[in-house]
Amino acid sequence: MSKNLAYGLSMPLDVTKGNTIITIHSRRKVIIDNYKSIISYDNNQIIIRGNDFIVKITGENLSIKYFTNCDMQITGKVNNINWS
Amino acid sequence: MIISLYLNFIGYVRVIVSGCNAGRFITLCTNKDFYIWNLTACECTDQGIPVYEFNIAVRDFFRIKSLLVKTGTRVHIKERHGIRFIIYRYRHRKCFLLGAIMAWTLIYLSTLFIWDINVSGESAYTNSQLIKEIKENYVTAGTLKKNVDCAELEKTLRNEYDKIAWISCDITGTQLNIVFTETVETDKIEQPDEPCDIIAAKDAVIYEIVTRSGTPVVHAKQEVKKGDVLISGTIEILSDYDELMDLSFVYADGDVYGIVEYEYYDEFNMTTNEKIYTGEKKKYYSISVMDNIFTPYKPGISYENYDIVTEQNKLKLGRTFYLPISVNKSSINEYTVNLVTYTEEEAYEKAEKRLTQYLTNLKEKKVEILENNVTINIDGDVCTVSGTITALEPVGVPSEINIEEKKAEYIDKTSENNAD
Repeated sequence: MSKNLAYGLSMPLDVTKGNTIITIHSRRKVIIDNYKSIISYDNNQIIIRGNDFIVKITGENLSIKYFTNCDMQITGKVNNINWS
Repeated sequence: MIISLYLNFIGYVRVIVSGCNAGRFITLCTNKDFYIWNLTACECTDQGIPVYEFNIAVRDFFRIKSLLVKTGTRVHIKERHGIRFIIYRYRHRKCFLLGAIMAWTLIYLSTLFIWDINVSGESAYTNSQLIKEIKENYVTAGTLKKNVDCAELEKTLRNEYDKIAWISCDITGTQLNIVFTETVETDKIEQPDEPCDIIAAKDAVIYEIVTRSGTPVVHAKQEVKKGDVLISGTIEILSDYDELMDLSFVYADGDVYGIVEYEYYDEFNMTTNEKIYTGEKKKYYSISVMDNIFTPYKPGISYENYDIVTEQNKLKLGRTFYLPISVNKSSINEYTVNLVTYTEEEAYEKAEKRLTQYLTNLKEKKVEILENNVTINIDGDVCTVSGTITALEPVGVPSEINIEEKKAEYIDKTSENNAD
């Protein structure tokens, strides 16, 4: 479905276009929906490939609470989130 | 919590994966829809190889082999969680489990029956008498709870025991509780539908007579014998010339008090056998299941004279879940028999005690003691207590009138009058 049509019908873009959604709860929990893949992961840094960007989450004691094919939850102390 | 219960049910393991392509391995796992959670990155090895820890379901763990080979990753199981691992760990303990299940089943089955009957609130009827009666005729130990109808039992017991004012039955645990409340004794009021006389119940000297209905036949200070009419229920209807015209019959009513003499006699020996416990005792235990008693060990009894006192303790779970098993503790107590002679004081004391009990029993029957002329004599080896007790008590009791007989007497009487 084209972006304009989806926008015109007010349909959610994460369903129609597969846009990545990043939900941040305070500083301790980040939920990422519709990600493509994990590029790298360690205790202090997680790099995720999204729809058409790459997001880098840095912090301390980062762990992945769960992750499936399309969503994941990251817990730990988040210091920085960068898009590139 | 539900998820955690589910995961414990299906079983999961916490594994450590290490390898240059560990990240790729994890990605491949997610691509294959293997559920992975609690992923943490551990410190890399000395060679800089990344190490990850995560939880994975057992069924998915069995399917990661091809991915491990593909990515060249090593896996090591750190922890195992789930019922399947517990069962595997105790696979040689099946009999223990079976025994536990059987024990719980037996306990559950035993709670379906009544094993104990508790009676409270009685006074005229003794506890053991009531329990024995109930066990013999109504509900025995070992009856299924569902077969006991409390309402029906209450009704039956109320009909059986006329002194019961109120009764309540209920079952708590395996115990049947029966609470009695006895009626307050009231003077019986006879329904005045049958004519009757008041006659003397015993020999007495009339002290006082109060007539409410009928014709008084006796007066104060008159001696009467048992059976004599005190208040007559026959009313003679006389003519103006005092001739007997007719008879009318009423229910005679009144209070007649008389002085009655009781002959009291009691005797007992001045020497008696007395048990003196030496303190030597032997104990043993036994188990009784329903009415069967099992005594694993009973010590040999070398005493010449002994008593056996048994204390029964019924086993129960909690407060009211009695089981059909009881542990009996028996004690064999040795005693010696000594010939004891009462002293004079002791003999008097014993005699007075017995006399007091007798007088108390009389007083309970509404008898007022006026005089007590009882003497205590000790003659050799025998102590005798004798004398008379003068008492004041009601002596009248109703007695049905034989109307036909009375009428026949009336006819004879009127015939005599006519002949005159």
